[in-house]
Amino acid sequence: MTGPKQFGAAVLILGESHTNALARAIEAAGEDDFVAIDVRNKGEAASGGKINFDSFEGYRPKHLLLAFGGTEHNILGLIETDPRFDFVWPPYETIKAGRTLVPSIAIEDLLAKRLQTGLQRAMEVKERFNCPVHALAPPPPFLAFDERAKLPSAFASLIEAGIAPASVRLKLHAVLCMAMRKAYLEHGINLISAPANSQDENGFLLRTLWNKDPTHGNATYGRLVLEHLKEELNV
Amino acid sequence: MSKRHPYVGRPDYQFWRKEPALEDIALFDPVGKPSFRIQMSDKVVTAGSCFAQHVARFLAQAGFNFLVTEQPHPLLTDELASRMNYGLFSARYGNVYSARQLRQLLQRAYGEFEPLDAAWETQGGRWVDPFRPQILPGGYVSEQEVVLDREIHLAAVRNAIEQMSVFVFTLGLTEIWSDNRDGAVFPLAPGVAGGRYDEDRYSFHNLTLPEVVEDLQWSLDFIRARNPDVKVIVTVSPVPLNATAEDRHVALSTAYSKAILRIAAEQVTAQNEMCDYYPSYEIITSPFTCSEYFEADRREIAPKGVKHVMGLFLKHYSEIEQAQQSVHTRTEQNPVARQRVRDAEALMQVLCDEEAINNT
Repeated sequence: MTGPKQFGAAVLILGESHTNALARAIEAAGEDDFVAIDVRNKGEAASGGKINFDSFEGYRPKHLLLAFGGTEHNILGLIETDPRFDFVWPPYETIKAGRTLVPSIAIEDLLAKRLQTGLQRAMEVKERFNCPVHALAPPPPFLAFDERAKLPSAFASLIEAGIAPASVRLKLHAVLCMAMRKAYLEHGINLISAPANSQDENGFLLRTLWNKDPTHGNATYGRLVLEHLKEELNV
Repeated sequence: MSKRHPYVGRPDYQFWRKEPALEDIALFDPVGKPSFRIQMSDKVVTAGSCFAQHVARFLAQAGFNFLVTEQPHPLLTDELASRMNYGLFSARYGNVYSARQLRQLLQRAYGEFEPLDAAWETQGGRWVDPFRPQILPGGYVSEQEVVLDREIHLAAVRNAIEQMSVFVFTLGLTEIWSDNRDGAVFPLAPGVAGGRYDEDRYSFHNLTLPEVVEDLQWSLDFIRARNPDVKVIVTVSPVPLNATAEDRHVALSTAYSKAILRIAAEQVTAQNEMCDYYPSYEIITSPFTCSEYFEADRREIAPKGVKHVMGLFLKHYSEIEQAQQSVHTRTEQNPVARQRVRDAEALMQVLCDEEAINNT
């Protein structure tokens, strides 16, 4: 008779879509210190995905890393809105010509509200653990679409409106990270930023770190995150 | 045969003891004969002190074509747009308490005045627009954002001025705070909602009757130079001063301020065509209404008071018998744009699901 699984290694990463790049990197490298699990109940993922608590039952890590949400900035700004918008977010003080200025504090408010759903799920997961808990920021934004980039076919009708310019997406990502940092800190949880070496000099995700889907990192990105975590968590 | 005295034959409303409100305050109607009516298609713009917010809200809800030229982006929810004061007035100028403030708003909108104070920092490290310091709760993230948003705002003011058919302005205060260097007038004293009070830079002034008359007349002339057919309604806020900078009781300053404003309104409306005084002040403060229209703090106006004021406004100025319920939402949104955001949300979920399947 076998009891519940016991996981004694260093870091358990639980979350949603962004955990997949980490899981692939862990598998490829044969990492023993990390486990990454997409905890969404797959059958209900399309409706927001309830948590499959069985998927991490029995794990007793030294550190828990939460990777929930992290796509809220793309909901607001991946696809162009009508009218097209921009906002000020220091040090990015200019807005693109012809775009409507939206007050920054409105963007902050919208993203802070949107991240609550992921935060709530993260807190439900956190309650199951007694170890130190951290949260992971989403990957940096992509710079531009190219011939290799592709969104799911369901995006076809929306994509006609165009993809928001990189400068706007960069600012949205910065605001989201700030809002996540603030929200998690209220629960005593530190947000770990994306690795600096995953970004180009302007803060965009290096082209080699994403494939067709520009909103998630690939396994190579996952590898960089794991290295980053080893330093941050002193693993 | 001549009359026994000159009051013989005069209408009942000229006599205190014949006022029907002595029996029922709801019957109090001091409005008189308007010089024009407001068509439902007329674009109405409102500005003024805090009482003007009631006017704006009521006009919008009554089905008037309340013109809002500074609209929120469809990303903003109705609640968020409201919190950020979109639709509170026709443009986001916030409360325009004094005739001097109105005059300078017009000058700033048309590039005739650029005040030295461009942005004030708050204690929290954010920034506010000195000329509408409470328009964006939480503040702007930088001086540059203040400047950029003000450009949009002033363009919206110009649009409102040039498109409107009717302008309703509510005079609120005579007490002003201004910059000694260029005379720029602020709605709130520096330091109250941003900025830093510096006695050498800023000073208090209580506007006199000639100053209020001149500022108001100048503003009307300026507006009609750009929109000659606009009809104007001037009112005086019945809301007492919250505080006075004069070294005297706030009740005395309130009486002074309202007296000046009331006379200024009388003089200016008398000397301009298609320009009426509307007696909001009297409806709320007259002994006929027994102070029943004030809230418990004796300052804020109770909803039933606002309803009385605006009910008479509809009766005398509108083309309809009663308020219509076809509310022109003050934040007319682009439903297509909002739907696009919802679609993006749903599809982002798809994208995240697919990520679990294929991103290697």
